Amino acid sequence: MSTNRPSDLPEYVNPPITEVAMGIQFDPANGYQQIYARDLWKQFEARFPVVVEQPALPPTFETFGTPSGGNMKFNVVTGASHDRYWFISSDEQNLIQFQQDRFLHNWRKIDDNEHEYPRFDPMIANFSDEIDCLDEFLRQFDTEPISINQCELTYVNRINIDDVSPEQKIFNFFSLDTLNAENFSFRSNKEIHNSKGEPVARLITEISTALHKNKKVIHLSNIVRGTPDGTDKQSALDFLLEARRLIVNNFTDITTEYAHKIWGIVK
Amino acid sequence: MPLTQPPLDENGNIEPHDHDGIADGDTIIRKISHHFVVDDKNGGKRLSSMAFKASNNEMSVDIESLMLEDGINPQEFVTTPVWIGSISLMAGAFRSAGLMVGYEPVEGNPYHGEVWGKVTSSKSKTLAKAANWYVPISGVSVI
Amino acid sequence: MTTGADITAFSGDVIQLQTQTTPSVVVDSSVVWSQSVIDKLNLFCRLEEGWDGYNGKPVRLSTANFVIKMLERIYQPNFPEPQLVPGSNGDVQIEWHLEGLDLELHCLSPYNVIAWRETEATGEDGEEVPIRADFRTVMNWMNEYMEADIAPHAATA
Repeated sequence: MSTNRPSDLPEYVNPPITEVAMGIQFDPANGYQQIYARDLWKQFEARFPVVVEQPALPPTFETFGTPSGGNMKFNVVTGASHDRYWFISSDEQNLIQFQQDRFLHNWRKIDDNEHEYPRFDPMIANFSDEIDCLDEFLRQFDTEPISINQCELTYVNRINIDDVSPEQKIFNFFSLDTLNAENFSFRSNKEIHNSKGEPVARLITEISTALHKNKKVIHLSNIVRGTPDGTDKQSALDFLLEARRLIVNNFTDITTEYAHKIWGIVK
Repeated sequence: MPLTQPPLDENGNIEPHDHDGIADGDTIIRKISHHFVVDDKNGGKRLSSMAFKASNNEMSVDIESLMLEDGINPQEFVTTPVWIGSISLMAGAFRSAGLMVGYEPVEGNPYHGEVWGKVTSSKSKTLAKAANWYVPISGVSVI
Repeated sequence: MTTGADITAFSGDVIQLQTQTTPSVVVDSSVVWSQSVIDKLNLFCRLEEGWDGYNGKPVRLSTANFVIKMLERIYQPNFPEPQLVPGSNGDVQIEWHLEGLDLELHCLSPYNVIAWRETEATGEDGEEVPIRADFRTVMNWMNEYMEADIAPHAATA
């Protein structure tokens, strides 16, 4: 798979990214059972030799109507529950997450001084191949091709407050000094519409203070989650490409030019 | 008269078709599960439009004429302790709604047919109006 | 709502596996009928193949969970409890039959819903709208019904 980074998309030499996760949610294959997860791991074992079990992620759907989903909140889990498996690379930077209806690839910064962010384009090219692998694996249970109903792209940034002089702002819309808070958290949701004007996804921005190695930092995450135009792999990849554009632009829009220079903006 | 073999695709599966051996006046039966029974607005019971909807553009039915030719009692054939009721329509009612009525024998049911086509909610209502109880479920109206 | 933190590796410390039990339902709702909806969906997801007398399949888990999300989005206080009906291909329909309104939400799969209503204004053919994720049309229909339903009561108060 080849991708062309949009020429007008901002780019940074040293973005404060510490994790990127791209994922799909799909209809579970008829006849698949958790015991077969080992066979899927075999396809990835050479690159991801370590396996860890985690609780399953609940299904998620971005729908639009009553704000905040009203007063009704409930989940249904039926049938045998399926764990979530992490297939982890030897250097722990990359991991694949798999459960009966979810498949994700995470890159994470393990050591502060090494392991540069590999960039989105090689990541999505690998993810495309990994989805092919998953699809081939699932076809042994269900002759229908994988049916993807949701996609998700997350960028997590860790901003060292010490990198920014006290007089300067990181974010365009508020100042840490003005806030003068012990800690804070912020969350915004923005509807994303398709070419027909239908809401199909959300851009979720979360900002919060945290401690990293005893230093105060700011976590900034941008998540785009929603339904692609079609249920096939290419529709999912198209969604993720557009999600990247939305996230990078949002990151640039909400942070200051001063911060951009620190992160080495090239355009 | 036995129905001619339906058309097959390259994999040997029966293709959607409108069988010319099934006359418009032929009775087409559909078993009714108790899951299709819902409350109506007047405090009584009625069938949901799902009883007349073609999931994935396919709706299974049974062809009465084939049972009669084989000397089978159709009402006994379609009624079991599980499926206690059934409705019937003329094949022509399905066709008037733009649907195809075909012959699709399956293992265990040589009288099985299929109705192909998209059934909207308003179309399902049209079918419901054209339907009658074949083996009624007491206290439940068709529409 | 699940956040990105739930899928990031940093937030996922290794914890003990949950015991495998019979299906669990978490209800956090002031809606009195939410449990019966859950019970119905659980039942439909366990239907045996051929439940309809033909080739009927159980309702798909992903579809059931999407229905939950859909009901969260359209829920309005005082609106009557919905009825649920399984389809033969893993689909499910949510429906209401009320004086002045027949409302059906046929969920074929996640993000694939056909909404239909019949009122005096629409006539017998009704009004059908395909819906992916935006349920505001359905909410408007429900609001119209409730406002119309309330108005006559107010006149006689």
